[in-house]
This record gives sequence, C-alpha cells and structure tokens, in this order.
Amino acid sequence: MECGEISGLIMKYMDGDISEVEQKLLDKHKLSCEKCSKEFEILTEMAEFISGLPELSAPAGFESRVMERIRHQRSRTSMFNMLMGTAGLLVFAYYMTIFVIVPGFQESGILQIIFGYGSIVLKLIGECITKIIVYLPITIDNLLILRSILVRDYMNMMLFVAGGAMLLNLGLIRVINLQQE
Amino acid sequence: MDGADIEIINKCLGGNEEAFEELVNRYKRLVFNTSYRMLGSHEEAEDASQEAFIRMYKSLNRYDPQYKFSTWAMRITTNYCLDLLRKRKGDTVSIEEQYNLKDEGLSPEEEYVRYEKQQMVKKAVDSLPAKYKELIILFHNRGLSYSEIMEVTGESLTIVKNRLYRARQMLKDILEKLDKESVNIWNVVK
Repeated sequence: MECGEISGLIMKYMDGDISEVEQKLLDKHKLSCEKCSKEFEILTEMAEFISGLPELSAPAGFESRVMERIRHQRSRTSMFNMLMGTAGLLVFAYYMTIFVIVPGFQESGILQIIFGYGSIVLKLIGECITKIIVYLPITIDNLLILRSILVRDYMNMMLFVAGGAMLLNLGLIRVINLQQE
Repeated sequence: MDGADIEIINKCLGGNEEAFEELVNRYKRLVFNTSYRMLGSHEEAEDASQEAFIRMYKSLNRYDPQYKFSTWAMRITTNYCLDLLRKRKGDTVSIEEQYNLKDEGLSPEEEYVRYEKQQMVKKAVDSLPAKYKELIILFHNRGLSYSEIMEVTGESLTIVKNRLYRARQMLKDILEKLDKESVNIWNVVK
C-alpha cells in the first residue's frame, strides 16, 4: 500500500471511523514504514494533547458583567426610541400648528375670541407648572417604572403613529400649497 | 436539559431579560473555553465571550429550536472569534500557560517533556490560519461530531472533512518545524 493511501487511513483512525480491515492494513504498513509510523505517532499524540488542554473556569462575576452590558444596551435603545418618539410628536405638533390650526383659525375669525381667553389659559398653565414642580419627582419615579413596562412596544408604536402623522401632514401641506397656487 | 433551555429562551422572548442569566451560567464555560482556544489570550477571550452572549441575546428570536442551544452558541462564538482573528491578521498572541499535568507517576523529566510538547502543540494551534484552527478546536478540543461541526460552520461535509484533514497536516508540519528549531522532543524523522 502506498504511503499516500496510509495518510487517508490515519485520518480515518483519528475520526474514529476506521474499519477492522483498514486498521489491519495500517498496522501492517506501520511496521514496515518508519515515516508513516512516525506520522501516525505525531498526529495521534497531537490530537491527544489538544483534547487534553485544560478546561478553564469562566472568570468570576462573568454572568453579572454580561447582564450589566445587556441592561446598559437595552436602556440606551429604549432611551433613543423615547427621544425619537417625542421628537416626532413635537415636529408633528409644530407643523400642525403652523400650517393647519393657525391658518384655519385665521380664516374662521375665532383667533380674536381665543386671545380673549388667553389670560385665563396662561393662569391655568401657571398653576400646572407649579403642580409639575411639586409632583415631578414622584412622576419621574412612576414614569421610570412605567417606561420599563411599556417603552419597548409603546414607543415603537408612537414612532409609527408619528411617522404616519408626518406623512399625513406633508399631504396636508401639499394640499394647502396647491390651494394657494 | 434542552427542554429547560427552550423554556428559558421563551421566558426571555416574553420580556423577562433576567432569565437569560441562567443561560449564560449554563454555557459560559463552553463559550469561554472555545474563545480562549481560538484567541489564545485570557482577556480577549473574556471580552469575546461577553460579546458572543450579547449577540445571542439580541438574536434570540432567530434561534431555531431544532438545533441544540450549545451548537447555536458555538456558532455565534466561533463566528465572532473568526472576525477578530481576521482583523488581528499577523499579530499572534502566545501566552505561556500553566498546565495541570494530571498524569501521576511521571518522572520530572517525563513531566518536562510532556509540558514542552503541550506548549508546542498550543503554539502550533495558535499559528494555524483561522478557519483551520476553528475546525481543529471544534473537533479535537470540543469533541464535536462532523454533523455538529456542519451546523456550527454552515459548511458541507466534504468541505469540513477536507479542511480538517488539511488542518491536521498543517499542524503536523508546524510541529515538525518547531521541533527541528528547538529541542527535538518529538524525534521527527525526515
């Protein structure tokens, strides 16, 4: 048998896939060929060393570091979603005011009446701000709890709604532009 | 065991992120040792293992329960280590390792030879090209079967077999070269 074929048999031996006949051929060849015998010895010993490399324990506190990184990344993502959602809503509100609500009121003439109620509204806003300052710490605490429950799905939905509203708004702007032309 | 794995995964997918810690606990040894054998350094292995678990967490919804979780974990770990090795390119990290030589009854000289051989094998494995190193580690160190290696690497049986055969030959050649350069403990015949 050629040494090249024996090399294939050695590989089969290492795979644990050698037949009895092949094993006999290999053993016989090894007796007469020092080169193949040495190759067999090195390869099998090498495999034995690799499988015997010591198993290490994972570093202490490994799980908590992984979990910390996961939590950190999650809070960053949800924070980003929340900011995007809020920004979307603000932009939407801004465009609605400028292009839809104000022109609508101007046309219908109720702007004057609204100004009449302006002072009352400002007073109410003032009271609200005072309440916000008082209740803000409690509110933030509650919001943080709420956020962890709702933020993932809710903010995605908000983004979607804001996006939809933006599209609608762009449509409206286009209609208004067309009307003006 | 696997049933319990899938229960934990479902809990995580249901929003209970803390359940993932149990999976980390179960597979940290596997992931860490695989990374360590691939990268050769303790610090890099820890970073890589953490990153591998984060990647698992992020893509947990893409886990296919028909495979063992350990196979999937190995797939993510080895892919990430291969990326790192490709980026690292020529820089090889070689760390002297403290081996626990379990065989009792060895003479000091035999112990020395055994230690030198282990060091040489480790050095040779470290110097293999990444994709060959991966197969040597998966088959000979982690004891994976061919079908498991196919799942981990996503390669066909023919490719896996040919690459492993080639890797063994390369490893033998490197060992012979190292042995000639140093103390000739393998008694290489040329």
